[in-house]
Amino acid sequence: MLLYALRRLGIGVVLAVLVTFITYLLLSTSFRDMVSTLLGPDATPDSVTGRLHDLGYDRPLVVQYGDWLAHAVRGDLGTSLFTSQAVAPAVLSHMVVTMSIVLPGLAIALILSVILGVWAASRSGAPDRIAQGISLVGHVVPALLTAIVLVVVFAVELKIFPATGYVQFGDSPVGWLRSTTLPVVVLVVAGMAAITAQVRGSMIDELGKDYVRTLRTAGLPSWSIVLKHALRNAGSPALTVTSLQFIQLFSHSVIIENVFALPGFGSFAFTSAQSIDVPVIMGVTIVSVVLVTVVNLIADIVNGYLNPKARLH
Amino acid sequence: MFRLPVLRRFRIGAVVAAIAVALPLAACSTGGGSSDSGSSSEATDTLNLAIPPSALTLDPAQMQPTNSRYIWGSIYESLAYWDPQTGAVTPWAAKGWAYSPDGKTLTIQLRDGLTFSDGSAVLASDVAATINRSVNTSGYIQSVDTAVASAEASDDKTVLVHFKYYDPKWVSLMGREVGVIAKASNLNSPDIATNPIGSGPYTLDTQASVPGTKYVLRKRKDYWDAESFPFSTINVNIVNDPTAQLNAFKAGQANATIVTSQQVSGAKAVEGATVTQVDATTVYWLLFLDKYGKSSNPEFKDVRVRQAVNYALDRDGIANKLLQGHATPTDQVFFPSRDVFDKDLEQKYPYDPAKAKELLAQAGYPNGFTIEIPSSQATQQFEPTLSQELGAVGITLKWVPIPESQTASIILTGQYQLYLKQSGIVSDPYTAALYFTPDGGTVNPEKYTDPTITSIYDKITTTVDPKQSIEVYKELNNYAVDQALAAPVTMTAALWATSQGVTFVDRAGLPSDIRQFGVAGK
Repeated sequence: MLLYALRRLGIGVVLAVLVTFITYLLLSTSFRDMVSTLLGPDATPDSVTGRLHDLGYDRPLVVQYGDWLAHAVRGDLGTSLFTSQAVAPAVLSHMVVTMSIVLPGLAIALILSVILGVWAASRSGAPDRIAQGISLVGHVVPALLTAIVLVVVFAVELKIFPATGYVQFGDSPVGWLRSTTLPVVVLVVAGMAAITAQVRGSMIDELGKDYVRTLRTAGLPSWSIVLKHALRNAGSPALTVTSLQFIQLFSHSVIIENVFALPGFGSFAFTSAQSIDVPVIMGVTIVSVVLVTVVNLIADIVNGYLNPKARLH
Repeated sequence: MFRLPVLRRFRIGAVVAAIAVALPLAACSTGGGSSDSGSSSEATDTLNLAIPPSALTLDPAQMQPTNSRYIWGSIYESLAYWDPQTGAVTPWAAKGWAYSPDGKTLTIQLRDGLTFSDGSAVLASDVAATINRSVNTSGYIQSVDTAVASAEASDDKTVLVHFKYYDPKWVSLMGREVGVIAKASNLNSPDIATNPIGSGPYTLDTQASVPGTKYVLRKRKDYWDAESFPFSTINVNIVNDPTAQLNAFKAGQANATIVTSQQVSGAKAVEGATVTQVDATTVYWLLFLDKYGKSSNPEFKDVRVRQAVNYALDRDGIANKLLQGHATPTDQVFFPSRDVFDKDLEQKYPYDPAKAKELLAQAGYPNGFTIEIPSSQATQQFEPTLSQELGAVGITLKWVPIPESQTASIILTGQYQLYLKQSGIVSDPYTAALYFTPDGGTVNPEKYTDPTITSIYDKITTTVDPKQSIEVYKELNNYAVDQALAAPVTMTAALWATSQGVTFVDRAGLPSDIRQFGVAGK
């Protein structure tokens, strides 16, 4: 397992270098536009050229990228050209905000999906229709719409939750809870769609297998059969879907954070892309690659625990 | 069929958990909210702004006159300010100034009592050091402040600014980013861009602020004119999405925000809210980018074709129908409520498609012509109307999508001969005059000029007396309209929504300034 994890991490490193290099390559076509934006509408071509030179963006591309990479491996992701903020701590601080909605959103979605999926598979009939209905709603209603409706109802009209903004947990735990509740609900609705469907489907498959019948004839209680045996076997594909949902919810955060004006990773990436803030875009890119790699690795390791056959791969 | 007692327990647990979460939340919702939510009840003491993002740096060499000026303009003292009521550049940290007869030296006298936020006195050497650093550092200020050779302090209160040539706009720049005062010994600090020693009425609370997201400004009690700034705290929230800005306003988290014309009714629905229309903050104008006639579309070399475009535009219709009255039709780009703007010129090009067709025929285009024009997010609103109106006289527009972020460089390539540009309007006439000179940047990428323009511009750059210079600017404006050097369409308005208790001064063409906002009754 250790060797496997190291091999996956190695692939992750290669992936990170490749993705960041391609990103830098693509961004290089916009260096001049970035500096023009930076210098404002009065900028002359000469002043743009001068600033490009001062910032080092007129050097050979490979040299620039190598320079960036050499600093990046030491944890120095540069400084934002538009806010003068160091990129590494900025990325981290925005990541904290995103994680504070994505992780609870995913956890709640997972718990509710498992309950709903197991309930639906076990009981069929009305519970099954309810589960399928919830899953369908999650699939067809865009997260943006859910977010807007929640803001209008619970923030603008009822004024129960704030419409925008984020309160750090350290400043006010209650304020933090209030500022993250609506975004978390949006992510829960979005996340439950796929996970519920997967858990339900897997559980139906497992409960129809021979070993379940054998266990029942052996006299094991129903809850033990479902939770200890069937759910464990159904857990592996559900976990894969959950890891994919994590990435999906991370993508959703771009929309959600804009609606709720949360200073998260998504809105940070969006704003930096709009202004072509190259150091920030590169920082966001490498952190995203690392995050996806690590999440997939964790999912594989947990999968290996749940399903010994997965450890062979 | 399985019967699962454990699921029943889950159900009960889920309900209990939901109640456990909902109760404290509901309780805090009725308790006046947490520290982050500025309700309108505290509006008299705290200004909560929700504004869109822009370049946000506190480095004096890089600061721009965007909405970010609400932040840096509050932290840094400025030599002058643009009076929100009159639009005039007014002495502030400088109590006065005077040009030498040749306009190449400006003597600035500082007022008494100026201090930095660390308690030290503001000296003329600080002003000179800030100016010198900005003109010698590649960045935004260097690109606008091209005339200054150097600055020096002749004594603690007197600054001498030496120019390479007379710069008519420099006095107005003193009320913008060029006139800020930073502490000389702090200029090379590594955190000058995020945590500077300020000289203005507010200091940045770095603990409560999140760069790029939220800036918390605290009023300095030791500021020399603290009474002029009524808010003890200003929270500037950077909100990217216009809907989120409005929602923050509706929910009471923001007591002042920019709204779009579609959002006016929503903002007005908030009890006690006021929406103020600031006329003429942006001009939309069609630019003729090949007046030399060097490209494959040389039509705009002929003044009659340019005039035809002007006659083909139904500016009233665009302003009142398309833009719902939040715009003013115009065929000039000089600031409407200042001296250079000429009301008589507004009658120069009435909507007259027949006249436009006639001019096109005289110019040799009886069947019109087809031309490509860049399409971006900023132009999309106008595209159907412009296509229809110009198409009606025979000019077929082919809108070509271009990346928003690459607009400037694409325009500078000379690939397009027609372009609908959105420009911010400032009341400083020199900035508008520059558009018609070879230094016009993306407004004049071909660097077009002619003997008349050159002659007028020479007079502008040598006329030091402000009253005389107005006449020269008028001459340029008259010539630009007569020769149809461009086809201005409308001057659009900005809309500010403010909560009860917060006032907003109707002002246009001036840099964003925290002085715009006040407390009702004060």
